[in-house]
Amino acid sequence: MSAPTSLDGGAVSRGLALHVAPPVRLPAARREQALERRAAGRLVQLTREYDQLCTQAVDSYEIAAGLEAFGVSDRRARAEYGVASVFELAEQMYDLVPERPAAVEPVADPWVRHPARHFLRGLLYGLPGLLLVVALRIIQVRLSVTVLLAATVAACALGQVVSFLGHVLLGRGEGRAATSLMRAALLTGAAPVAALSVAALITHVPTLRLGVLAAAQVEYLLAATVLMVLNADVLLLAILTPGVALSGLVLGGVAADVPAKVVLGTLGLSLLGAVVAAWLRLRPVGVTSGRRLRDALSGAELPVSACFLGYGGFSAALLSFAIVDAVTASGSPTGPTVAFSMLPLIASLGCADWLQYRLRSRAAKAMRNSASIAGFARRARIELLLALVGYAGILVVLSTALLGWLTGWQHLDQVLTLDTAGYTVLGLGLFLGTILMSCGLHAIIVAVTGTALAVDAALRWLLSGANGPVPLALAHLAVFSVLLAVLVAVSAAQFGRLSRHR
Amino acid sequence: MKIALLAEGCYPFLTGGVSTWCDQLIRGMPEHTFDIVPIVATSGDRVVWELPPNVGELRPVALWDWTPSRRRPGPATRVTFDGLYRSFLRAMLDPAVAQAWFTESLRQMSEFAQSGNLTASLHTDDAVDALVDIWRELHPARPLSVRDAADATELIEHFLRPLSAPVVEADICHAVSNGLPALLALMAKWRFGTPLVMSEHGVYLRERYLAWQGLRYRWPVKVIMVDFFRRLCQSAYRASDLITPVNVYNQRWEMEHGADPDVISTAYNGVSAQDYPQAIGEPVIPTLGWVGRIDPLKDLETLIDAFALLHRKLPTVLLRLFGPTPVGNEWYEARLRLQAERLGLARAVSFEGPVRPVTGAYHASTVVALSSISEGLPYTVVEAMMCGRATVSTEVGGVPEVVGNAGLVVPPRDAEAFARACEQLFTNDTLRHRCARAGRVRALEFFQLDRMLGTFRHMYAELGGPGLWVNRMDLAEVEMA
Repeated sequence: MSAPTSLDGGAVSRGLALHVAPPVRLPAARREQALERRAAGRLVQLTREYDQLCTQAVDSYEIAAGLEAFGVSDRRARAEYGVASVFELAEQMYDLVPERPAAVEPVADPWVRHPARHFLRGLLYGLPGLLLVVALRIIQVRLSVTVLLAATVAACALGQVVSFLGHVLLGRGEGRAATSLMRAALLTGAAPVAALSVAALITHVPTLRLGVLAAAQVEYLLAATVLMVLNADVLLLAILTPGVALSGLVLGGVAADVPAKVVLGTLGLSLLGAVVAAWLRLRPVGVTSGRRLRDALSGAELPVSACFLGYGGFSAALLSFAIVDAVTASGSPTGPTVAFSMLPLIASLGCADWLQYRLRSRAAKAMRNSASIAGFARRARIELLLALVGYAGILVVLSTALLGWLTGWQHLDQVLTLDTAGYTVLGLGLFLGTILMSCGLHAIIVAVTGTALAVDAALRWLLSGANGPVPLALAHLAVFSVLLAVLVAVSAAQFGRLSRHR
Repeated sequence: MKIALLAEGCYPFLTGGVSTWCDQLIRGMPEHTFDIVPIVATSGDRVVWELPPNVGELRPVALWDWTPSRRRPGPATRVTFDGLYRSFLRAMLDPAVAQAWFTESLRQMSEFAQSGNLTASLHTDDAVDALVDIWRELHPARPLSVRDAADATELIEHFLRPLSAPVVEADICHAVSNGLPALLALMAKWRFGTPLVMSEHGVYLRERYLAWQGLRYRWPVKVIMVDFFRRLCQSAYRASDLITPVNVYNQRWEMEHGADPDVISTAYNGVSAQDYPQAIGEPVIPTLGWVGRIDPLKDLETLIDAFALLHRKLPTVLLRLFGPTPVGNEWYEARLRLQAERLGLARAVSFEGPVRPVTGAYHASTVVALSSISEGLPYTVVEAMMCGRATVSTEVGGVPEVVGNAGLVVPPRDAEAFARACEQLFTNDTLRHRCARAGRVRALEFFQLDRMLGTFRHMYAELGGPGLWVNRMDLAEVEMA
C-alpha cells in the first residue's frame, strides 16, 4: 500500500464527504435483487455480483480498482471472461450497467435544530442578566456597577473567543485540543477568583469582595460558554434554576425578606455549579483523539479570535448603554427601569437565535437548489430581508407591549421610550452583525461596532453637561440607527455572495 | 547531489511501509543531500521520525490549514484568473480535450499560483461560476447545483495548494507517489527542467478510487475529483523521466494512464537481513500476527472475520494486531473493536499498538497475516519472511511477486479462504516450517536493502549530476530574460 493520503481527512472534517461502508460483493442469493434486470451471461452475472461497485462507479477505472480489491486479476479476467485485462473487463461492465443512482446527500444541514433549543439558548443568554440585576440591587454601590459592567464586557469578549475556538477545534475533530483550550479558559478565569477570595478573607477589604464578584462573573460566563459549546444547554439551565427562581422572587417582592447573604450565596452556587459542571463535562470530550492544542491551531485563527474578542466586548459595551447612563451623572432613573428597557431585547434572544439559524439553513438550501450564482444571490438576499423584518417585528411588538404595560398607554416616560427604542434598533444591528460574523466578515463588523461604540462614548462625554437625559438618549438612538443602516448596507452587499456561505 | 524527496501523508510524519522506505533511502545514501517536501494535512502535524543527518531541509506543504477570509483579488487579477481557470476546468472535465492541453493549463495555473493569488481567487464566486458554466456546457442534461460547485471548488482549492508553495530547487525530484507530490515535481520540471523520478508503492490513482468507495461525495463532486486526479496522474506519468514501481503488476496501471513503458523500471523494496534475524522457535500460544498501520486499505474487517472462523476450529489461537492507529483513523479502530466484541473475540483479539523493534512482533507470531485490498510491495511480508515466519497474504499488487511459493496467497476480501489458509498453516507443522524456511531464503535472495539502494544509486547517477539545478536555474533565467 502506498502512503496514506492527506486528502480525505480534511474533506471529511469540512463536511465535504463522509465515511461510508465500501461496496460489498453480493452473495449469490441476492444478486437478482440488483437494481435493474440485466440480460443473462457471465459478464452480467459479474455486474450483479458487484452491483454496488458498478452502480456507484463514475468511470470504468473505478470498477477496475474495485475488482482488483476483490481479487479479480488480469489472469482471472482472461481465463474466466475472455478479455485481455481487468481494465477491459471493467469497461464492459461499466457500459453494461444502464443507470447509476445519484449519491445520497452526505451531510445533514448543520443549521437545522429543534426550535426549543433556540428558545432555551435565548433563556440562557438572558437569565444571567436577571441574576446580575438582583446582585446590583443588593450591592447598591455605584462603583460596583461600573466594575461589574466592565467584568461583563470582558467576560462577553472572552466568551466569544472561547466559543469561536472551541467550535473550530471540535469541528475539526480536535477533541483533545478543544478540551485543553476550554480547560485553560476555566483555569485562567478561576485563578483571579481564588486569589481575590483568599485576599478578601485575609484582609477583609470591601473592594476585594467586589473584585471577587466581578471575577466570578467572568468565570461564570466562561463556564456557561463551555457548556453551550458542548451542547449542555439543559444542564446549564438546571444549574441556573435555583438562582433564577430566587432572583425572580426577590424582584417580584415575594422574597424581599430573604437575607442578602442567602441571595448572594444562592447566586454564587449557580456560578460554582456552572464551573464544576463545565469542568466535569469536558472530561469525556475525546482526550485521546486529535492533537495537542499548539499543533491543532495554525496561527491563522489568532486574527479572527481577536475580531471575536473585539465584537464580544464592543457589543456588550454598547448593550450596557442605558445602565451606564443610569450610573453616570445624567440623572436617568436607575434599577428596575433600566432593566425594563432591556427586556424586549432579552426576551427576543431565543427568536433571534432561531431566525439566524433558519436564515443560514435557508441560504444553504438555496445553494442546493440554485443552478446559478445570480439565482442563489437573489434567494439569499430575500431570506435575509425576511429574517430581518421578522426580527424587527418581534422586537417592535415586545417593546410596544412593554411600554404599554408600564405606562398604561397614558404617560410615556420619554427616556424609557427612547432607551427601549434604542435597544430595539441596537438589537437589530447586532442581529445582523452576528450573522455577518458567522459569514466570515470579521474585520469590517468589528470596525463598524467599534466605531459605533467610540462615537457613542464621545457623544456621552460631549453631552455630559446637557440638561436632562433626553439628548443623550436621542444620541444613542441616532448612533444605533446609523450602525443599523451601515450593517444593512454591508449585508445587502455581502450576504448574497456565495463565498460568505462556504 | 541534492535530491528533493516529495511525499504525501507519510515520512516523516507517520510510520508505515512508505515511511520506512523513505528513511531507508535517505540513510542508505549519505553521499546525497535530501530535501524533504511532504504534503501534510495541516502545518500542526508533528514529525515522528528522527531525521538522518543528510536531510537538508524539511518544508511541509499543508493542504488543510484553515485560512481566514481573504481580500478579493483586484479586477485585473480576476480577469486573468478567470481565463486560466476556465481553460483548466475545460481541460480537466472534457474527455475530448487532449492530455497535453491539461498539462499546459496546469502549468499556467502554477505560474499564476506563484504570484500568491490562487487561494484568494478560488475563494471568489467567479471561480464557482466558472465551474457551473463549464459543467453546464459539458452536461446540459445534468445541471450542477451551486452547492456542488462550491464544494468541488473548495476541494480543488485545497488540492492545488502545492502550486503556491516555493518551487523545489534540486538536482532530482523524487516523488514517492503520483498525485500531489508529483505536482511539486512538475513545477520544478517546468521552471528548472529538473528530472522527475516517480516511485509508486501502491498505485496512487487506484488507491484514490478505493478511497472514494469508502467516502461519499455527492455525485457531481466525485466526478470532478476523479477527473482532476486522473488528469493529474496522467500528466505526471508522461512527464516522468523514470518511474519505479515496487512491483511488476502495478505497471499495468501506469501504462494504462500514459506512462512510457521505456521509463518504467521495477525497484523492489528491501530490508536489512541484520535487522531482521531469523526467529528461534515459535510462541507457546499459537498466534496469528498482523503488522501495519490500522487503515481501511488493510481490510482488517476481513481479517477479523477470518479469525472468527479460525477460532471456531482452533480456539487457542490468538490474533495480535501490531501497529499504530494514525490520527483520523480512530473511527476505524473503534469499528474493528466493536466487530471483535460482536463476534465474541474481545479476549482473543488484541490491539498491541506500535512495537519497537518491529522484529518483536514477528517473533511473537506463529503465522503472519496480511489482508490488504491494495498493496505495493508490503514490508510486512518481506520482514516476516526475513524473520523466517510463514505468511498468509491477499493477492494484491506485488504480493504474489514477494511471496512466490514461500507462503499462502488468497483472494482479498474472502474471509473463508483466508481462514482456510491460516488453518492449513497452524495445523500442518511441516508446511508451516517449509514456508518459513523458503521465505527466509527468498527474502535474502531478492529483497535485501543493499539491492534496492544500489538500484536507486544507479538511477540518480544516470539522471543528474551535482549542482545541476543551479545551472538549470541559470538557464531558466536566461530563457525568461
